[in-house]
Amino acid sequence: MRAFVAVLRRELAERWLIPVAALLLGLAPLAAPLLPIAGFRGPELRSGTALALALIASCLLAVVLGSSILARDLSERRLGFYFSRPLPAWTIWAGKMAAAFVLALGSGLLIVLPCLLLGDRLDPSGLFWKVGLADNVGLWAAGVSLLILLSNAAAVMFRSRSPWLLLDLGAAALLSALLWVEMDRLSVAGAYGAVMQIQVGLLAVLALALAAASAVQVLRARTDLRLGHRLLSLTLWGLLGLATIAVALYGRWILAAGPEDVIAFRFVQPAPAGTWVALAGPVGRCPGFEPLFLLDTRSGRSFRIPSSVWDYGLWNGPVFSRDGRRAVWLEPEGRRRSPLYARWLDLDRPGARPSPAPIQFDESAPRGLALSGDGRRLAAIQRERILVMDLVTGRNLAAVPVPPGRALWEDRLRFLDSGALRFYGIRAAGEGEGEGDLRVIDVDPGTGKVLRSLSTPAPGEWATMLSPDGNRLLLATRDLSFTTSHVRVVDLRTGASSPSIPVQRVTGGADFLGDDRVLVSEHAGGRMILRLLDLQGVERRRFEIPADRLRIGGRPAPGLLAISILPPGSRNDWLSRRSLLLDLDRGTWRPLADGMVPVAWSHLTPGSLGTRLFFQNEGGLFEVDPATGHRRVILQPEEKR
Amino acid sequence: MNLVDIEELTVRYGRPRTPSVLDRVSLAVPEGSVYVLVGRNGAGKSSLVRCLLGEQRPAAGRALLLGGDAWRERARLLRGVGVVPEEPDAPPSMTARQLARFCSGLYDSWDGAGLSERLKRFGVPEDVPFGQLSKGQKGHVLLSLCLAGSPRLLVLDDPTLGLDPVARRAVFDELIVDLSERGTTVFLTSHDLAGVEGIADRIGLLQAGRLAIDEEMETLKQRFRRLRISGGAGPVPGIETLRPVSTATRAWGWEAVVSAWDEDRPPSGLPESVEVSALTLEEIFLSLSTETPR
Repeated sequence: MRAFVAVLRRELAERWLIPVAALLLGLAPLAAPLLPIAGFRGPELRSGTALALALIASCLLAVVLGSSILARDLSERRLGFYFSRPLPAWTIWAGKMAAAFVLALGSGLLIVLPCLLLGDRLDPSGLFWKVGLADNVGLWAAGVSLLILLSNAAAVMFRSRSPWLLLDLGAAALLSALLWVEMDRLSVAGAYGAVMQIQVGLLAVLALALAAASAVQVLRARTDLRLGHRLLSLTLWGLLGLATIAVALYGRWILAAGPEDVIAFRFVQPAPAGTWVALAGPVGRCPGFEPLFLLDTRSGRSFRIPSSVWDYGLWNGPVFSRDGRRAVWLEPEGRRRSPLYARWLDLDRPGARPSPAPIQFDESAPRGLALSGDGRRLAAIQRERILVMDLVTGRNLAAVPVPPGRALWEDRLRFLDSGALRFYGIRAAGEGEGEGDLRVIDVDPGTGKVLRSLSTPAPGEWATMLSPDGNRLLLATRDLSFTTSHVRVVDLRTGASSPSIPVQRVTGGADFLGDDRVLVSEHAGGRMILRLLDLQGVERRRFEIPADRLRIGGRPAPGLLAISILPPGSRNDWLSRRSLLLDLDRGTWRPLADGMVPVAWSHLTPGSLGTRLFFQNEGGLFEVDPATGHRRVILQPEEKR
Repeated sequence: MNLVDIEELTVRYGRPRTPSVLDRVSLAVPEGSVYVLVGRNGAGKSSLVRCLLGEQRPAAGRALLLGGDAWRERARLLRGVGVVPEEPDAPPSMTARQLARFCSGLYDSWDGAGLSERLKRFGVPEDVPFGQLSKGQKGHVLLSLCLAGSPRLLVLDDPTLGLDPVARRAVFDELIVDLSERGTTVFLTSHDLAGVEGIADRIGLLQAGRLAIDEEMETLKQRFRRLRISGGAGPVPGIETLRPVSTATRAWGWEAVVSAWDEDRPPSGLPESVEVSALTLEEIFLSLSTETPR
């Protein structure tokens, strides 16, 4: 240690002018408030200037000292002065590096010292950082260390004038390219958390590799610059090569996550028929990575869709055909956001793999994706046009302009049982909010001919649910405080409307049952009231359930409705949820499953598989028999098995 | 005890198949002796010194310093060794006083007063930055620093290179004083053969990476003789027994340098006109360096 201190002190003493200059430079910000810069107070300007000068000086010194403190001594054959004395090699390396670090960081701190003595805070309203200097000294020190080590390595490489420099440049280019490819792959999949982890990890590994390589150079090659360069390069690229392999393996492990790795569900959507579901949620192996999967709940077969559910600022999940035999989704190719390519998967064909469709959307992402009942036609809204394409041939079958005006709520498309394509949306004719009209267009997808077009006022309303046959729409009022005052049903074929159904409190949901009945839930202080109405708004049945929240689920058997509730006074978490089974004819209910929430909404065909699926948000997907309550595990996190 | 033991030392730069700079060199320096290693530029002297000081790892063999492996135990062993490098390598901004302060903490004993006295004797100012000193003064500072640590062994890598005759003389005088006072062991490489002739106990000659000569100075000087035969047309019959290293026909006659002269038993059959003379170390070095192929 004595030898280390001796080297450190000597290196510092040799450069005593640097801290003196830093102290003098620290006086300059005191004059900053005299400058005519509007918008800042004097102390802010002073501390901001000091911080900027400190950062610039630190970085410059780190580069200058890093590139000279060791490499110049080596190239000018002056390192032998230390090596011909009883100084262990590590003390020579560490003493020099520590001196560079102390001078670079210390000079920065000396520059801000006068401001600190004047009582200034060095977080001038987010001018540089939003947090104080003290919290960031560690980051500052790490940055300075990295700059010193980088500069040292670069200086050794260039000063040795060895052909190994070509290898260095080649290795740097190769590893950068490989790492970029790996991180790009993760970015495209939406594993931004992993990318962040890798970037932070790589910076740490880079610093460690540079330090190790520099130390090996001095410890093993001592005063031989060319040999030192060789050892530095071998150590550095060896370690970074290993890190690249580790990144590649880590990336593959992340992307190999399956539905069974999902630890919480953000989204579960059953196909209208059949046994497939689309689901998405974070996986435990990577923070922030929420892959989207198609899962066959019977066979366990699954595919990861290489895009996020909420990508491009839009919902980007798959759409299913009405028969549940085909799923279609859009995905980009590589990091570029456009074009987006359509891909499909035949869900009922054993061994089928996702197939590309000859359909691509350039530049702006399409909205309102819909798939025809037979899964052969894809419809979307892009650039204010309703497009219909043949999924197999890619042929454009129809292109119809959407109604004029500005969309107040998301425009939607729906293929009807008749084969026609229905557009519906609430659009403002004028500029003012709340002046919206419900606009409906029916299009013949084969010819592009408009079959029906209607418009009906829908002031302050938004479209909530479409009836299973696509002919009726449930409209709800919603003001700026998101309070619903009434709901009504509009017939999309005629524009006729049911009387408004007054709703007293914020609803917990409203939905069609598919048999001309409407469900509306209301909050009534520790109770949820679920009202069963006919299309005229006449109440046919009422359930009063002690609950703070209620979610309407599917109908696992005719006449039965699954709901989930949050019992009064419970913590608002998913574990506290309780599923109930309501007998719509008798007006009774019974518990079905604790800690679970039904996956489906009510308009799925009663008794279909999707109506019997329940999930636990902490991971776990189950099929529950409504008669016995028996659970079949479809997915369950490993720790709960 | 040998303070330096070089055993089968091989040094090469670059790939394993490149020619060796040093090829299986072995030599030893007993305590109290002065070993002078000579050789032409590029013969491998500096590589050998670098191995000896643990700055370079040999490709094969080993260099023992004060009985320890110089590569592995460099820092510990150098506590007892004073080093003067071929090129003055001290930091240019440091004065002799600052250098002395730095070095004083690294050695077990430090003769600060002796250092000041020496610098005064050399006429070197203590408060002038090293970079501003003349080459001779730099050499004097480094020699004074290494002597101040009272080392058991001095390793001097051509310490008089580039010095004027007065400065060279001063270096060797200082060495002679130290040798006579403390009996320090010295390992010295030099081109200044006249200078080292007076102090060397043993001499080594490196030629193309091999140790061509390694013997006592006196023995070396006794076995080398110059034979001159005026008017003769040489070669002299039987001269091979004296192992000539160079022969030449001159305008005045014939000349040879032989390496197996025995003063007590001069060879018979030499002509009457033969003139036998001793050689200086420099002359021996020159004759070996321009050795006539036999």
